[in-house]
Amino acid sequence: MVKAIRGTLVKCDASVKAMLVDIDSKHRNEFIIEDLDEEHVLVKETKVAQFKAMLQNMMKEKLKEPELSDSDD
Amino acid sequence: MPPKRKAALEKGNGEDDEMDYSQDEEELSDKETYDKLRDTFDVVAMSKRARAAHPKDSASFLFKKCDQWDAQLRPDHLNRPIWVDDAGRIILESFSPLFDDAQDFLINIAEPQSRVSRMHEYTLTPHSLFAAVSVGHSSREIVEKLDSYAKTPLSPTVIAFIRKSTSSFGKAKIVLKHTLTYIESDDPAILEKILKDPIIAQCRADTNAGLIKEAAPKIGVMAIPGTKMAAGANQVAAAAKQIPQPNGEPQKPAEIIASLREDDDDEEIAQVHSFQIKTDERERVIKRCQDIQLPLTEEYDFNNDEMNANLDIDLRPHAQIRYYQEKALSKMFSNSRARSGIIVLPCGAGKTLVGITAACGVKKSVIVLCTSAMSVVQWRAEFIKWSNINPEDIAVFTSESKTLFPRNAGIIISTYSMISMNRERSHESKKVMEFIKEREWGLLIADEVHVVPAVMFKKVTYAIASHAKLGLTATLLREDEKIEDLNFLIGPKLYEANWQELSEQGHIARVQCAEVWCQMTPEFYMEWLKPGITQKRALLSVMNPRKFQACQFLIKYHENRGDKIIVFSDNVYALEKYAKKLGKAYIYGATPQSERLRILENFQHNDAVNTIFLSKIGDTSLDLPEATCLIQISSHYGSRRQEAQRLGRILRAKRRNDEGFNAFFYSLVSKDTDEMYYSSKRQAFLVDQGYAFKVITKLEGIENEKDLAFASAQDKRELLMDVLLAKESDAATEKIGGDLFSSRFASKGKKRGGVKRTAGMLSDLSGGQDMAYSEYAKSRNKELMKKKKKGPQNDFLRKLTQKKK
Amino acid sequence: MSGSSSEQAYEYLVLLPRQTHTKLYEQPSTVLAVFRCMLPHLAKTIVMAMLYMPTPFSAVDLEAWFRPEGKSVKDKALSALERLHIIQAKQDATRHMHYELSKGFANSLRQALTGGGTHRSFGVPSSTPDPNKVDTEFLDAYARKQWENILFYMVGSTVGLASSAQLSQDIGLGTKKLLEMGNFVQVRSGRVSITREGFTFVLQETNAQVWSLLIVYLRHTPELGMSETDVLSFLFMLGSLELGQDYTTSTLSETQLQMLEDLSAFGIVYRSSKNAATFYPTRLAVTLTSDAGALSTSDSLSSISASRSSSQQGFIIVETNYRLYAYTNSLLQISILSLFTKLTTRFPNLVSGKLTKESITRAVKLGISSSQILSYLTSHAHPQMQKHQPFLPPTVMDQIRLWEYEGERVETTPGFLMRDFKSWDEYRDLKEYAESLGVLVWHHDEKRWFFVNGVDQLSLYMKKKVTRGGE
Repeated sequence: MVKAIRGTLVKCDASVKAMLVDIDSKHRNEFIIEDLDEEHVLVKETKVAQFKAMLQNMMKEKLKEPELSDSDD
Repeated sequence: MPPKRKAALEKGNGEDDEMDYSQDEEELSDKETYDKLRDTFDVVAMSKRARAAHPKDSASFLFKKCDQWDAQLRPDHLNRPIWVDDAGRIILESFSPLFDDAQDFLINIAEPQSRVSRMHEYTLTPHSLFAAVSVGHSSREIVEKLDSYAKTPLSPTVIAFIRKSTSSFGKAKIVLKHTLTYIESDDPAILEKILKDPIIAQCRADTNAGLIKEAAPKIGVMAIPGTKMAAGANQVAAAAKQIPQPNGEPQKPAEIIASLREDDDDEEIAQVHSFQIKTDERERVIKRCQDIQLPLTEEYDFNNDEMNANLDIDLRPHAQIRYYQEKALSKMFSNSRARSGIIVLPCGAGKTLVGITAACGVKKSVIVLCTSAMSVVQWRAEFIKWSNINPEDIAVFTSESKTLFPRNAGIIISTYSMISMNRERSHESKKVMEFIKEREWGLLIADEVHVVPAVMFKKVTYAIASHAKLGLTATLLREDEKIEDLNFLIGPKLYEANWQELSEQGHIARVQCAEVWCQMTPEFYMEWLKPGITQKRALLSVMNPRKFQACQFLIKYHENRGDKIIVFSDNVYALEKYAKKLGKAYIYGATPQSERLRILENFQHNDAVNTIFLSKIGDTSLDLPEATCLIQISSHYGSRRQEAQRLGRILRAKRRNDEGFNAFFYSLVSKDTDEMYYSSKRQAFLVDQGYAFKVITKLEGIENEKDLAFASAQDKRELLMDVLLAKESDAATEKIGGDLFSSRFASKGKKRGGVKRTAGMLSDLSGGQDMAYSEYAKSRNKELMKKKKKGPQNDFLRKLTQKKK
Repeated sequence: MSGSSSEQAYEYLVLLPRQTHTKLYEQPSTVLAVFRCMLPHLAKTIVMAMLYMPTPFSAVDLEAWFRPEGKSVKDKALSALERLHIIQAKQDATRHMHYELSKGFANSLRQALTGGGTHRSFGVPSSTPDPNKVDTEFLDAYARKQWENILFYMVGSTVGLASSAQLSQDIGLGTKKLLEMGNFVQVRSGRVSITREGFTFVLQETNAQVWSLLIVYLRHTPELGMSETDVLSFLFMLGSLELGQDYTTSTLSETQLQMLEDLSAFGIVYRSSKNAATFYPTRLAVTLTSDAGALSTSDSLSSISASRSSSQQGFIIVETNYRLYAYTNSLLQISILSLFTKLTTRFPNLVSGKLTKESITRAVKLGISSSQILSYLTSHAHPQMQKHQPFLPPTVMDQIRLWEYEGERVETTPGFLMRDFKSWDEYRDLKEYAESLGVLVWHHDEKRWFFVNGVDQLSLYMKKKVTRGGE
């Protein structure tokens, strides 16, 4: 029987997806309903905002950003 | 010690042509001196004080660096091309009719910061002003000229800064005349001030109470060989020889000058004053003068040096000096003496010819120091190509070859490491070192001077008694502050060329630069995210299958276009994996010299070999004018210098003057890794030289490419397993090849002197651990080895080998 | 008419009901203004032809004016005229179509053109000489200051610059409120910051800015107890006044007197004091209804602002190393630049800085898009930059877009994942139906999964299919 599962489709690139999967696995899989493909995951609708915030934090932590101060001269 | 390594050490008695940078960690003994000097000219503090004096408005807080909105615009400001701020930063309109004049002037007195297209930026620094004074600009002239170009009157802060810097720098010179050492100045008060210092007073050699007074040499009579003025130069040289020499003894300078003065008595002649110091106290005097803020410039009056034999050398008629080479050399020779200093030209713009021309100008014994044995060979060939020197007179001193020149004057080409090495030398090597130490050298040419650790360079300068030193480099860039030390060890920067200008005029190739963003695959990125894997992160980023595919795609694309491609990888593990998988030859630190040459020859002459992989040994000193495309897959952190050097590999592209020709420079970076961050840092210098990096997020057509490696999930997983199983050491970048920054980033527990190098054939390295690649493991390198008889062999190499026998 | 500053006024006007139009057309000044700046060129020709025609204009005759390929131009002109209730299409007894000019509009237009009547809708110049007479130069300076203050309030507050001593006078509570109501700025816990709409507003030509603000004003007239028709007529009248002339306030309605106060806060009119018996229109007023189609608004306004005039020539240089140089000393331009540039250095006639990832990301967070930034930089590009096409270095444009894109790394769509199809055909059938509805977002053929952002019609379709299948 065809099933319709309510959720939010999250489209992102591979590295962001890897981060999402990583966050999810550390939180008892409470965000992701289904891993769709390399660039898509299905996320619980009620958790999207929280999930996004955690992604922001993770990106801040893992990715080096150019220094805020000008280092050019 | 593994037998292989032991064998490597035994060979050549442990001598190395490549550098051991562990020395760089030593502090300079007179580091304090430099620090003191720097403090005195703290521009930042000066401009901060000046800033406090400016009135503020509501927008002032936005302008952190400089806010001079209240300065008075001159009524004719539209006709003036520059703005000058309190900290000595200068903005120049390139579209001003006065641009050419202003640029020529600014390059003499300030450091170029940004020369892109419409607006250029320069900064006045104590060193740039030192250089300005030493090539003959007076303090007053600098202030007046700068002020005349400026849209607003110069602020008192800037004027004070220029006066302060110029009053203390470059006022006194250290000169060797008839092998005696003099301190010279056109202002007797400066000399008296110096003599008041008790230490310097002790070092004084002449016993006269007063100073020696003589006519200043005429400025501008020296013509650069190979230029239009060259004919005139010969006359000058002839005139110099006419100075009477009674009894064949060297005349005292005062007498020479006296006799000269009789000739042109009625003319108003500029006077110079001097006193003699003991030659063996020379180093002490230089240091002391730095301490008391009257640093000495070094000049060599080679025309009047009769102690040292002349070298028979001249440029060949076909050697044409380009205008910027002439500009640079004229700074060096502007008052018919050779002035020590540094000339900065982009790779491919003819640094070697500048060095050779300088040698032809001085016409005394010359010692050339390079970073590797490869460049020793290339320098020698260039000398023979461009000058009429008797090849016998050019000796070579490397671990593989040690020769002497037979006559009184000659040229020796060697490496920094050979001269400065600490270890026990072979008998043969000792003999050459004695030969070098015993004599006086007219000119020391220091190639790629920016890569030499200061400590090493110091050792070299103590060992070699040279009258003048010429430093050559493409970039005076270092990620540490040590570049400033070169100002004291060699001399000021005499000239720095404008990359865009040279590129527009076709002297160096036009280059299209691109940064290709390669998505990490989810599996690789998952691993990358794992904590505690920091060591492996770099390796995961380089071995990203999508990056591999991008590299493969670009190689294919450019080979089809007829390009010759160099792929750079700092990481040797990646270098090997990529090269083997793609069936290309590769060279890294452990590749034996003979194999290197073979591969390079094939790259140059064999139509079937269009791509080679190089580790960072290829960053400098490899001259490959055939290369037209560079792909960088792994690099050294945020090193702006390495980026510039690598770009330099294609700037001399042979085809650069073909119509519409572009060379290509690709940097492949894995997205969302540290590579992204370092990549933008690396580009900073080139971007300021006007190179624009296009970001490519998707390579057009890659999705239709059929034979891409690691296409299947299975292949990707296997690659990932390989990377995860790789040794910790594989993740690190190569620890050889003349890059002195390695020590900054390498692990702390590095063993001193432990050069991590494995010698031996590559076949040993492509052993069992890379089973996944067994089908590709047939090394392209080995194939090239087999073909060695067929491959055309380079002329100079053959000659060199013959000589060795 | 596209791109003209009065386009917004037109959009506003066409939405008004017929009664309002009828009332508005009682004023010759309004009719002239509408005629001059709201109508496409062809529509004007048609109106002029009909104005003195003794009989209605037959559709067949009108048709005869045009070649077949001119149909769309004709339709556009007629539609504009009909929507503004200037003409009506009627059928006569013989069932032939013809057009009639609205009587009120025709009368007022004739009056406006011939100058007859006692309507006073073009303003009444003051009869007594003003002891404090001001010249156009003064008025321009005044208008510029007032208007720039408004822009500066929006931008300057955002970048932390507005509480400035340079601003001799506050823009007034009313104006602030208006900007907030128009969603040009948002105020959060006392901090004012610009919105995307606000940035679009700032990037417009002055004339378009004036209209944008006035339309917000118009929308809120009912709440203020003002008559919309009165307000509109007054604005159209202002457009017909002469710069440098003072006009009496004695002929103005209550609403219009109230407006004078607000308009002087905007710099559209000048009054020497709150109770002055006269007022002066400024250049902002007299250009309100200038014939935007023919006359470039930027020309008429270029003299209004020194910084504007430099901006019209172009004053920004952007280099491939992301350094930016702007020939300006205007605090307004400086604060606009500082929205997305890291400024570092200022000289009397130049500011310089750098476009950085940080500065662009900050702007994007305010709601300013990369394309807005690029269009600002392009439209103000220095003549030296204009020597090349495109004006801006392509690598810089790419990078600015990428920086914006990098800020937004995930795209979310709420909806339903459809899965567990029994057969390929069932999967394909429903997927294709979803696609035809435009609700298909993602699909994976091997897995036989797809994602839709709306499920209602799909379930209906499935139910029908089930019943059909059951039959």
